Amino acid sequence: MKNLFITREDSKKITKAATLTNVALVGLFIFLVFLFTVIKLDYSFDFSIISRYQKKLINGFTMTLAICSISLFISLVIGIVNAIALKSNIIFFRFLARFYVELIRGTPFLVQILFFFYIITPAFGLENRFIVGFLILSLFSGAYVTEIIRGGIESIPQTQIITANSLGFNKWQIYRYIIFPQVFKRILPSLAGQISSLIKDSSLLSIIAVSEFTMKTLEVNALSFQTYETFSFLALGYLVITIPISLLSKWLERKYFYES
Amino acid sequence: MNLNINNVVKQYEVQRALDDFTFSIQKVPSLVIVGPSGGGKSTLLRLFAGLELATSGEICINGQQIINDESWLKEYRKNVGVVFQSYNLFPHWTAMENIIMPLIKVHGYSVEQAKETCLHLLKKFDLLEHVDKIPAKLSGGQQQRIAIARALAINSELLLFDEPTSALDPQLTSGVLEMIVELKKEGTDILMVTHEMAFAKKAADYVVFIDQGKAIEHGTADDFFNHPKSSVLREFLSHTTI
Repeated sequence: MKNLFITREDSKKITKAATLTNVALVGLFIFLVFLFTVIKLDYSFDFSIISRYQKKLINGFTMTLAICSISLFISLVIGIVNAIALKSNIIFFRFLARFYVELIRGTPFLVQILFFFYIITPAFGLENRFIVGFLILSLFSGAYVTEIIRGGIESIPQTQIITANSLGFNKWQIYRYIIFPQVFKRILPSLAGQISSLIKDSSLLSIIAVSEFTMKTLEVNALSFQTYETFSFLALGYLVITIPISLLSKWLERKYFYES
Repeated sequence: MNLNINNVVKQYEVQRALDDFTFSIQKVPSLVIVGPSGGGKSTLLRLFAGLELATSGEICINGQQIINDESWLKEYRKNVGVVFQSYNLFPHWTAMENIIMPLIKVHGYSVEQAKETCLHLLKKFDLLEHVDKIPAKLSGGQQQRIAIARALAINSELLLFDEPTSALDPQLTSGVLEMIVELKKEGTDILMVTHEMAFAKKAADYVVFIDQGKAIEHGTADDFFNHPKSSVLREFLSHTTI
């Protein structure tokens, strides 16, 4: 009986019976919390609003996917360029790249959104919120991608660079053929994690009314007042994307762990 | 090979690795550099390889002076084969890719030409079975032999070895050393830093002993090992097993 609930600290194996029992218990726990809120709020459910407003919700979801895909691409480009700039012989580039990374990583995303939206956007005459949305998100994510790539580059032993130099490869060729192919493999798991963050963080763009998933759901909520259904649907929508990415990331980690 | 080294100084931030180093030889097919760790031998080899710039002084290899200029050195490095202590091969490339990529990307070979050169070399040194393996699937000795084949592929007249066997288990060194002896027989000039005294005795035509950044003593292999003159060298040789 005790074995159903307690496992040894170092043991990774949990029996099937224990797994089933405890999954059921977690489920029950969540259900009880749910029940409590429903009773307390005297809430009555109407799941039909999801289908009633499905067009809005699907539009928002698609918009989130679009913004995140574009931002992912741009932040990768920013990350690569910046990681190289951090190692540049030109001091200005080094400092600029360092400053950018520290600035982004040291301030809340919400503050960056407000700053960008109220200062940079009007100054440059950007009006399209979709463009503003993926630009902010790219700049934000780019700093984190830079750090991931920098770590990857630094994990390549110096001896390889010396060997490559002695073979006559130039700096560009060393990056192109020797460093990046190896870095790319090594950073894939952390990059997958970053994609997951990117998708979650994109919900903050609702604050400046970019019509992405969270924004659209807020609209549906304002129209229907069915808070429980709309926000559960919202959370579920993000989980549908982030759980597969998390699994992929774990799989990549195992794969390259054994290979190296 | 002919070597003329005049008053070479290599100063690192705090340490002087080569101190007014002067040394010259004429028509020596294989030169072995020995000496205690930190004495300056690897620094010397890196200067020969064009991987570092001398602080001052003059180095002439086979009549060609090494010029203290990064863009000149870039061209120069392409034609000097170097084999380091370890991790010579790029881990993400197969044995073949390790050999053909420099040929294609640096020396402008076509893929077919490069593959042909590579297969010819691997066949010659009995390494053909490893052609598609990545370094992680090869023993340290096999990796070093493939690294030597890569250094040979560029047709350089001079091969530099920086302690090519010191990171290997003893039972793996013989294959690597045999390959180097074979190269020597074929007329490739060899310049090698090593701790393998038995090998130095067998394969070297000329030996130089470096300590504290200076050439303390040099001579033919026979003189060097059997009649050492300086007390430092006698001391050094007495601590090494032959």
